[in-house]
Amino acid sequence: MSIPPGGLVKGVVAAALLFYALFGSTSWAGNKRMVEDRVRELDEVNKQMLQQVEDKPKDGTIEVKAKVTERQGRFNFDIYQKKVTSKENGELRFQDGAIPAERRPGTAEGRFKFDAPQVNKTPEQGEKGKDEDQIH
Amino acid sequence: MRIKSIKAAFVLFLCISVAGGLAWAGNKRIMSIRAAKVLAERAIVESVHGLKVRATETVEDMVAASFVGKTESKTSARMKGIKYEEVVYDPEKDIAKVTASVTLDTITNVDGETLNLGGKVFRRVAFATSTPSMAGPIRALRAAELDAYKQLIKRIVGFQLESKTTVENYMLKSDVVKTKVMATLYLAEVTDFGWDEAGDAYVKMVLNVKEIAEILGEPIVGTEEVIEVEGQGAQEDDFSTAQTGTAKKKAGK
Repeated sequence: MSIPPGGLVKGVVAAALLFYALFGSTSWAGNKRMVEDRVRELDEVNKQMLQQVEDKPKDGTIEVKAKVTERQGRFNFDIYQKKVTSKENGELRFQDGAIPAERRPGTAEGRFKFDAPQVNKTPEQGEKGKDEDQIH
Repeated sequence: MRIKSIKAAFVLFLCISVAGGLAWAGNKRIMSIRAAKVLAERAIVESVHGLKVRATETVEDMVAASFVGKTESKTSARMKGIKYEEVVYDPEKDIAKVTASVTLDTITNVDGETLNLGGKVFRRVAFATSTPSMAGPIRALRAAELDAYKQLIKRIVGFQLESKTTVENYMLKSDVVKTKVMATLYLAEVTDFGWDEAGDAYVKMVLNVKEIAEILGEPIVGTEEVIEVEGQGAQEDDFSTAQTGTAKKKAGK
């Protein structure tokens, strides 16, 4: 039994169209891929930040807070709070524990004003305390 | 007999034409165009006066299922002189497209600073519909726009990262990563936008740092001349659908 070349081409095209109609339009669209990409990016940034923490415990918890800026594709971590809790000997170590008052914001706040340093506090400092979860 | 039939057909055609015309008339077109004009005005205000953006993201144990990302924006300004350069309406999809522009000499931005713009022209495009089933692509475009704003802010002022990691015998037991950002942004320009073949939207945004520095009259330290980002937005929530499916499977076991 032989399939004429024209028939084979038509069959392949039809199968491809059917596949696209069934799966193509739905498998590519949507936010799932975007979320997965973002999770990968966050994981990468987090790994880079944790690499800067010395004396990682065998058993324990590392809590780090940092201001992250990106320059020429590289992340710069300004760690302003670091807490390492080790279960091995119940030791609680606070590193860089003394945080200046101006570096304790609930969020990375700022506006772009072009002087040095670039990051400035917003003029809405008074708003911060009202409700951190809302934009005022 | 034949003439009578022709006459009857003609009368019927006239009736259909009149009735049809009446059925098509309505306020849908006007409402969609008006909505697009309002959205174009907002886009202009966001570009020129600026906006406040607050965004948070949380992910636990590096599992996408736990991801929660939220971005909010707010702007408010009084602006005059906005012109509608182009108004296009697609009656089939009930989608209106409006291109608005404004020429400004000075502006008070979101931070209360007065900027000398020297007659700079700002132009933005907006879409709107009064048919909810047609809103998907427009909503995706707005989501992409907010994503682009957020990315620009992250590039300019950075973001706060909080991480809590627990290890046991050198094995990761739990991991929580949070990012937070809240800042104001102004003079961002949209250079391109659209939808890919799957219907997901993209918005390319640029912040010409060099030009803004000239407007502000202040030097720029340690940054690129132009910051370009691409925001993304989806019209289908297949992420939540996948979570619901997984939850149902677990419940069924």
